[in-house]
Amino acid sequence: MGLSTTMVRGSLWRRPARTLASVLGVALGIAIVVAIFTVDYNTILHSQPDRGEGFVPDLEVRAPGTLGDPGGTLSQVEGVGISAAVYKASLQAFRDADPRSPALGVSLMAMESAKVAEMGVLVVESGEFIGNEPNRVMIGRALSEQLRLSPGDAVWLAPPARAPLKDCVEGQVVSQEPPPPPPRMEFQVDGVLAYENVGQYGGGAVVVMNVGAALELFGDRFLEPSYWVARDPNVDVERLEEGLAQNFAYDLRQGAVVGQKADERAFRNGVRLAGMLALGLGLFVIFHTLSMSLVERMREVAVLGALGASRAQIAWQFLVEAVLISGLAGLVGLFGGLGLAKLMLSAGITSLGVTSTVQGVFDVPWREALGLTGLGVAIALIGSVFPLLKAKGSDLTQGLRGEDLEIEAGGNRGFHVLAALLIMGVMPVVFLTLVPLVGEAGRELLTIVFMGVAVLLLLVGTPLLVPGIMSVVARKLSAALARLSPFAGLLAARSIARNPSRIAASVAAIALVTAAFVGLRGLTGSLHYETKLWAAEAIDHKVFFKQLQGVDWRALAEELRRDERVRDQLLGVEPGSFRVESPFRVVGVDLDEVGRFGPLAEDEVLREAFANTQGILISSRVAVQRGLAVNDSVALATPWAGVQQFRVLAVSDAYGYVDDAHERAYGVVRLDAFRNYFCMDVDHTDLLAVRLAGGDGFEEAREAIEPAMRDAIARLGGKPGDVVMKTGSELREYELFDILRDFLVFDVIILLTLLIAGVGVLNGQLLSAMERFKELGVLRALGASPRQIRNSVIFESCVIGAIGGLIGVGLGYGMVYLMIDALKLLSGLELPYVGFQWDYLLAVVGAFLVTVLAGFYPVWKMNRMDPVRAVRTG
Amino acid sequence: MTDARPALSVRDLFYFAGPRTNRRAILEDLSFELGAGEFLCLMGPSGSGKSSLLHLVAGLAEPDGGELELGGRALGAMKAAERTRLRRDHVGYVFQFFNLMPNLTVLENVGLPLAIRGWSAGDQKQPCMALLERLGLGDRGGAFPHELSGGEMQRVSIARALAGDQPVLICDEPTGNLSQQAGADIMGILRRLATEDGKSVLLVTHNPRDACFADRVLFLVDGRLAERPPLTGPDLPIEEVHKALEELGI
Repeated sequence: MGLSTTMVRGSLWRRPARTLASVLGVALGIAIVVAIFTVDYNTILHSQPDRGEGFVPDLEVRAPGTLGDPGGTLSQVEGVGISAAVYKASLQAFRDADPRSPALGVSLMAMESAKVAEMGVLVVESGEFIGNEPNRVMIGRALSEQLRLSPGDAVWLAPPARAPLKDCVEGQVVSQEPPPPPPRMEFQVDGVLAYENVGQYGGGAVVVMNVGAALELFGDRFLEPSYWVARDPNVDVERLEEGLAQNFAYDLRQGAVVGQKADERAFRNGVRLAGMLALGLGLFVIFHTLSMSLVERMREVAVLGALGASRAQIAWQFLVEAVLISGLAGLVGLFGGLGLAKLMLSAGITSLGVTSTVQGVFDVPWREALGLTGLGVAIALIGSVFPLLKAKGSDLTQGLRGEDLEIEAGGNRGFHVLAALLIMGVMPVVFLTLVPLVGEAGRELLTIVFMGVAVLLLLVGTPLLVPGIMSVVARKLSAALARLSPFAGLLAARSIARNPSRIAASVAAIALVTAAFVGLRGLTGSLHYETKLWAAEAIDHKVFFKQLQGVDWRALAEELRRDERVRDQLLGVEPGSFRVESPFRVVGVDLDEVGRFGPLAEDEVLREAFANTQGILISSRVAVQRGLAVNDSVALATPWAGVQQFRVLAVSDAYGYVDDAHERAYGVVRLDAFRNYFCMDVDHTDLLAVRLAGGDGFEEAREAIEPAMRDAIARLGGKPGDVVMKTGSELREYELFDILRDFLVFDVIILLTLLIAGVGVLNGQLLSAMERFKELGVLRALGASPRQIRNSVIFESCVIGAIGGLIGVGLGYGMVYLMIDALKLLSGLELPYVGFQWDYLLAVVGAFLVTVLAGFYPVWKMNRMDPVRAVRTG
Repeated sequence: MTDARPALSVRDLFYFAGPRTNRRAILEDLSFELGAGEFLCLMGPSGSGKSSLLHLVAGLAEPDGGELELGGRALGAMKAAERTRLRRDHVGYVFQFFNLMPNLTVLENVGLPLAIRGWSAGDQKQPCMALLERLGLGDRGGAFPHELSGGEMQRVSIARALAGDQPVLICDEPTGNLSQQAGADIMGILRRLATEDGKSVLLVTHNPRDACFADRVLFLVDGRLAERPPLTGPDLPIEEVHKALEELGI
């Protein structure tokens, strides 16, 4: 213990910079993954919308009356875990059979109770679970208290007295004749529900019974069933929706799919993969640092061996040191990661983009955070012990002679093989076990893992396989630099030639970060381009007005058409208030208006079909997300006509967008169909999009449309001052900016990985400088100036930065295609490939700057060298 | 001056080095003994195998032939762990390049052999300080190696070799990097260690001045002991050493 205490204190405490750099490498890697997972955990946890009172299933599904066996069909849909028929209605409850006893209005939940129970949402507080016998019920706590009912008691129930029936006639709700009062039936209370989930319905004044009993109670009255569905979490939500869309209308609870949608999955998985790469890079840095310190450690081992220290004692010393470095890194990484996560969340940076929905809340997923920390610590520990393994078979006499140890080829290769196995094999498997990717396993997983492994292969493969090539290229470059300062160039070339593995590893680390930057820029470039393509069709020639305060939009359109400032450009208007979410956004449009532009203006057959059939035009996002194509059928749930089937007539983004950021999944139906099925006032609107023709006069008309609109509102007696306008190009720019904003989390990760790579380069150059301590001291004694020494290090940094940056750009350029393919696969977005972007050169400049900056500390350290001390052997 | 049983016995020793396809003899048919309390000097030019011999004696390398006995125990038959224990208990090592740990203080460097034996820092302090006092470094215990002169560093190295109180002290060109005066001081210390403390000192050097301090001087040429009678001391006139070297063409 005495030896290890002495040696470890000397090694760690008295070399704070090296200790710090070693700890930082691993700690940053751990911090990034912990931060990413914590941010994602909080994003999902706190993005759940308020459910309000009562249980809301993942999905509530309604079937058209024409479907023979809705329950059976539903159970066949991929992604449906449990499904149960539920009938909801109002009831009157009585304490006894006396017709004069007061009635209590309660909620009825008639259900396939056994299936609902499987969902775990029926919690019995007292008594028993409802049996299969007829005339048995469970009741909520409030009902139990109000009617003083206990399990075993009788309760009388009756449907509420029928109110006059209403119907939707020509968009107007019309009352019919009132029916006679219903009979009451006796039921036995089997159990009382706790005030949670289903027991919360009606404020606890709820009756739960089996479907058969409800049908008997309601007699000839119509009870429309809906189906509660618990989704199978292993099936992607799009696949589920695609299956449901064939026959059902459904309401998807947003809380059940937070972070589960295709683009969200892609984003979250991208963040996770980036985290994994960061951890890999951090571990690579520490492995590389340890590898480089082998020479120094071998000498230490040799002296200790000569002094009589046993292998076990030396092993113990290394182990203690490794545990301290890894443990400290783990602690710093864990708490640094949690701090970083908190910082990111408070800045609104989440795993679903930048949003304010999770600000001010913070929960720590201890199990996963500790698991990820443990993973980083364990692998760093294994890496730290490697010098020990090398020392075991080393020739102690070489170390004692003060000779350069021949470990460059064999030792480093073995070390890199170990690093490759751990970082590429063990780490991804354990990481993905701890933090599984979001969504279905299989193709997505394989694609992403393949990409990750490919990049890691580059990272660890380069120094392993081609240090010689790297060395030749580096020397050529440094020879070019030698023209600026021959002596410094010579020193740099010599240093590079001496440690090709170190140069190659530093280059690999810089290349990885540069490639990640380029890949990300390429990806955002593709998303930008895709948004621009969408905007060109959907919004570029439109102007959007809000707060029109229920203006008669037809009259407004006529007023605008009379205004000579805009009439030549005005093609049509789209009132935006007539919309429902059923299950995607459906907007009612007036054919006379929208038929003046876009596909409806260009395609006479389409126009005819839209005018005369029950058709829908869907946006490209809806088509992709739901796997819909022309002539497919879409089921829409309507309040007045049950589930209605609409035929897809075309896929077009030209119609239906209202000023609602990110909502690009929509469809449009004819306004009269909308009015009949949704019984909505379709004459007055708060929102209006005005489509201009474009071309000559467009800019002038766009300038003039706002005053024209205000004048028109004023003429119609409205308040023109309240009107808010946004142009399509403003919305497009917002969308484009938002892509960059959403990708801020990746920028943070890249910045941190850049820091890790910088630490790696700094470590490498520092160790190299210390290793050449005597040589540099002798050179100083021979008259070399500190400037020449400094230039040699800076030249080396430049070479690393230039090669790493260029390789990174090349690699990143290739990765862009892979990343776009992966994102297309994951999100279903139709993403275009984009060519070379000038942004990429920023990556080279950035890599260059970071490596040069990383050289400053070694330079400072070298300049503090005392030449006298260096030339004295020892 | 010498006991019946030698501290070190070398018989018919062979040692080869280099790549397997081109092994060359470093030491050939080497035989000599180091008596208890004897100061034996092996002289030879660079490359004659002096340092390799010390590595073999310390059990850091394994001979390719012959026998080596340290404290009456044959090194050849020992496993690495046994050799380590034997080295720890019997051999103190003084290096030409000092090999002090740069991150440890003088006191910590001296205490390493005791730390290796499991002594706590507190327990190490008193004997190590005593050694430093004896070697004239009583006030440098808290210094780091780079703050010392060459002579001081070598004295620290000697103190470290003595800290374990091993009977045999092997010294590899201990004055090779020192000034003449500092070298003389170091040799004086080694001489006293043999005379006063009864340490068996095996010195390898190519410096005739150092050889003058030894009880016996052997000459190593191309890995073999020269076929001439050893010089005997102590207080050998340096001329005799020069003459012997001239005879051998060294």
